[in-house]
Amino acid sequence: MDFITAFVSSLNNGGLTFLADFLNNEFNMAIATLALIGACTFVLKENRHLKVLVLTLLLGLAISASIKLIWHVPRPCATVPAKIPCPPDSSFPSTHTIAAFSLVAASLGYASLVIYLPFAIFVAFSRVYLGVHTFFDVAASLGLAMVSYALASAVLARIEGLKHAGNK
Amino acid sequence: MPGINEFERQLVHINLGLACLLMLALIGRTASTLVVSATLIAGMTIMHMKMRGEKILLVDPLIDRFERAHTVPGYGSLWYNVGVLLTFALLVNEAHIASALIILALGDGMSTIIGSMHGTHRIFYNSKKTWEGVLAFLVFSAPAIIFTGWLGVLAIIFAAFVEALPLKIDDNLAIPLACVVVFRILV
Repeated sequence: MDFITAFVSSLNNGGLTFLADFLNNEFNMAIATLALIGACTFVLKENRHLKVLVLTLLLGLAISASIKLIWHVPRPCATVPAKIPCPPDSSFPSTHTIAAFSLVAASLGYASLVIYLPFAIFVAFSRVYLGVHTFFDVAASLGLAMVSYALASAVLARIEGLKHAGNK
Repeated sequence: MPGINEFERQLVHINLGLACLLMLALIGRTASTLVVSATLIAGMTIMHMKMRGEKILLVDPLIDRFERAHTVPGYGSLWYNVGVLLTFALLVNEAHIASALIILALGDGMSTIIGSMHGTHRIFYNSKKTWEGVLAFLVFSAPAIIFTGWLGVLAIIFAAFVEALPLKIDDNLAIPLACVVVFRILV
């Protein structure tokens, strides 16, 4: 195990564990993500990037699920005791981190980034803190969130191009 | 002949890749990944601020000097950073990481310089790239073979092929991904 994973997973704080465990639950994470998107869309009145944000998020989840299906990496909690029960699926990539950083990637240049970025950093930290992912899992997931943003932008640019061609 | 701005850009591109290689040798894969992750988050914040029209004292002169005209400030650097991060995080073997960094830094950087200086023969499936650029990519990526042998040859050829494709994804991301595919999936 790398020294960053060993250090972060050795930390122990009641409040932090409660929050990290709360977001570990997929349902809670989905509600938190949707609540943030809803708040940013309606309170900050930011809906211009909603298409790319939703597509980035969906592509990120699809990339994560596909990689987990074909590439099994054992979780760190398989060998070292974690703060929560060890999930049975692959450690790589971290779906939570991909989802959280997809919001960040799609919000570059928008005011909502100020809300999404601390959330994403906390989510990434919490995965290593709980002992269910290694530091490399979350670092690669940050990169994969950017890849899903690049793909979503390319797909939307292609659709826009086809629309323009159709209008002509 | 490429503009001085483009030439300087490519020199920065090459030197950044070589600096990452040096960082890998000096502090190892784990600490390097942490540095690159932190740089990516800082870079995203800077790009975000520039997109919102804010002035950043130390960064603005660098963007004026090295960034291509009519592009989102920091766009190329962002994908370079993502590419390097994926290289560090996804490749376990340090020799593989070193090879991928050489291909990204020297191969991609020199192919742009040579292609725009001496490129006359356009690739039939991508009019923006030339055969001279592809040849430069293959030649200048050759030091990667020192680290990974025949596998390096395979990575260079595959990365050169991907770089020449008319993709809507930045080369700085496509090339490291091509290297990751060869080193991680084909091995």
